[in-house]
Amino acid sequence: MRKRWQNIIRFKWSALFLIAVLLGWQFLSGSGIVPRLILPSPLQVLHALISEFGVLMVHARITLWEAFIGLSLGLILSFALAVMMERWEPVYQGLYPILVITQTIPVIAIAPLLVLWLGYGIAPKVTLVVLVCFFPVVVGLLDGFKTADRDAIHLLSAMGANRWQIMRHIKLPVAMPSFFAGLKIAVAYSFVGAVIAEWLGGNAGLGVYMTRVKKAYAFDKMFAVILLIILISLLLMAVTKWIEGRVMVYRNYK
Amino acid sequence: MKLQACRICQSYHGLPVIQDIDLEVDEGEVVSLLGPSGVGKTTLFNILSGIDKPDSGQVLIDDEDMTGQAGRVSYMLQKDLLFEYKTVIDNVALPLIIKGVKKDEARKEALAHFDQFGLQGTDKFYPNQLSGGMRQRAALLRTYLFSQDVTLLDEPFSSLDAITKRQMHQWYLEIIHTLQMATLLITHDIDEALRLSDRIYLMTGKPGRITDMLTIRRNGRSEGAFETSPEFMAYKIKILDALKC
Repeated sequence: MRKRWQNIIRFKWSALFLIAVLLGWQFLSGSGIVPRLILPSPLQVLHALISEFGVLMVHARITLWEAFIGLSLGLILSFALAVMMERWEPVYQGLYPILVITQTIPVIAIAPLLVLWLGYGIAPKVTLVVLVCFFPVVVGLLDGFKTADRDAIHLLSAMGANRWQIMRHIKLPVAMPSFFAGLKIAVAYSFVGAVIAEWLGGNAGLGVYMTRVKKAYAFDKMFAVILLIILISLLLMAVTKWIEGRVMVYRNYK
Repeated sequence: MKLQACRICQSYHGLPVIQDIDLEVDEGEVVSLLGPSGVGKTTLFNILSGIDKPDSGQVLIDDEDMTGQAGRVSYMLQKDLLFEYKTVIDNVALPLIIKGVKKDEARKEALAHFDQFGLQGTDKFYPNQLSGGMRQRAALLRTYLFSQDVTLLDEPFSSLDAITKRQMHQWYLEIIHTLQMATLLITHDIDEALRLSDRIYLMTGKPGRITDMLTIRRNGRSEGAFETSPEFMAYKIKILDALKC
């Protein structure tokens, strides 16, 4: 109860600041101090979002689909990789540095290459999403495995458990908190990643829509897309958080 | 003889930790291994449970050589090692599941013992919702389902407060005699050893050796009466003297 009250107070302050910023923005562009052509007012953006809603949803569905497939493949890959790295030390030693290096490659630089290699279809988008989202998940899992209690592992081996059972009953469950920490990042990345991949070529999706309205200098629609991306990302993170709560029910009983 | 250790030696990095350990636990007997910390009790514990292999010597269970083989001797530590992400029933049923029993059957079998272990109604709880004493009961039931043969307890009650500890001792004595579990209790608490055991091995020195063995005769007295008797004090003095070394 007390916690909920504190949350409301915190929420109240961030809401107040947000409203203040929006009011200031509305004043700046509404009064003509900043030309509307360059910076549309929040109300214009809202208007664009509502009037373009149907079109935006068509594009959003495609982007979400790409993000979903990419994230799913990324998750399968991450689990397989993390489990193998945990199981065989040489795999861990060999792959970990390479994983870190792949994360320093700027996504924006390889995205055009992916388009050249894989065409204008869904493939380059999915590939990019896999690339951006599997690292936080793999690292989350690996760090999580490390938190397993040695005595607990001993106990299970003394009961006659094999490696798979130790993975199933100890390592995977204890890795869940840090897995979800990684997953939340991955989910946000996956959607934005799909949008970035769409910028560089394609027929549909929010990224494609973005490049179109940018070329038409329709900045109100541009901002509307950005707003939509923010909203969808927040929604996806909320869904992830909900799933986290379902998976780790025991955390409600502390 | 249920559990037998024969001339067990173990060293770490060339330094002998325990030397020529001989001990026995008979069917249904509660035996304590009493000694100061650092004497090598845990080293011996790991060997008896089969987690580690000794440099030399043998561990026999039912006269069968089980040296370095886990799975026959069940054990329980001071930290109960209940998994916070599993419900009490799933924690307790885990040894059966590891053995390959189907989940439903394992739960059913575990649940059948809940009343006896004073755990009724807690099966769907998570360990965090249980008190310290209840957690130890759940851990003990899990240990029992792990192996009814021999149980090693490594300071199982030392994290409990004094009052809960006494209650646990009483309850433990009852249950252990009903179930006839052969038990080796590792402890540094002299009163605990005297209250619970049929026999006490004293372990001292560096490397650790068994230096003495006491057979505790309660002459049919209740726990409370025994604890305040002159014999109890006599045993205690003897142990204190022996541990001075």
